[in-house]
Amino acid sequence: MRVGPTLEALLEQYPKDLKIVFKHFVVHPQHATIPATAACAADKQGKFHEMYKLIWEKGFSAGRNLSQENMEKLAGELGLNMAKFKADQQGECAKKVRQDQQDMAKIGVGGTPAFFINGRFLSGARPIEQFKALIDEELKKANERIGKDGTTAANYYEKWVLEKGKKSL
Amino acid sequence: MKRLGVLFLSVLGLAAVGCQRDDSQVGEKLDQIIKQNDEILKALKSGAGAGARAGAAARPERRRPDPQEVYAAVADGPYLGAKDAKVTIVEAFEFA
Repeated sequence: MRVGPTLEALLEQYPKDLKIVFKHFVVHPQHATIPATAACAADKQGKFHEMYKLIWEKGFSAGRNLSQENMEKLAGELGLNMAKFKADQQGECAKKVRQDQQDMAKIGVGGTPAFFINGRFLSGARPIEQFKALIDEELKKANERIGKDGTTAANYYEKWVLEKGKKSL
Repeated sequence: MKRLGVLFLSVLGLAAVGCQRDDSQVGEKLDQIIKQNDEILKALKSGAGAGARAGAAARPERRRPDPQEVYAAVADGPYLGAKDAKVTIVEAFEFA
């Protein structure tokens, strides 16, 4: 979460050009698996970011209480459907967390936080300048490519990162 | 009686010589053991060092992604920001 303010500042500075996607990568399964599935289950009810903030504020920062009991309490505060929340945690979200882990491990992630900026790796909670340097480089490339060969802003990531990028380390 | 006394003294003398010989043998033996011990310790130390070095060599540093390369980071999670942004950051995170 140390990097949270940096990411918020980046979103403010690049309001139209930046998107931040969250992928689970559990390095400490004994503590981090339950909140990961809880955040995912909240996402299934459209409340990922609210749950994400609550888990950091009322779970992690409040004595690292990341228990299932506390996750259900936080889900209750958000007014989530509890039966669905618990079912998703055990079912689809357990799978999603594992899939995210595999997606990230395949391209070399070994710890958190780790970032790929249009596919380019940046490890750890770095100063905002390091993020901005990479974002500006990638933004320049995107501006040069968009409008040519059928590249649009909407398909840019698909064409230039997912299709052309390395699929494994 | 005089003969007995001479005999007794002779036995004592022989015993003393015998004991001296035994003491020197024990001393030699101790020297040998200490020397061997030193050699074993020396071998163990150099062996352990070599073992540690061999272990480090057998455990290669984990490869990390090259920041100059582009990796196909699947971006299918919840997100913040513009839907069709030109730059997408994929963050691998955990609550820990």
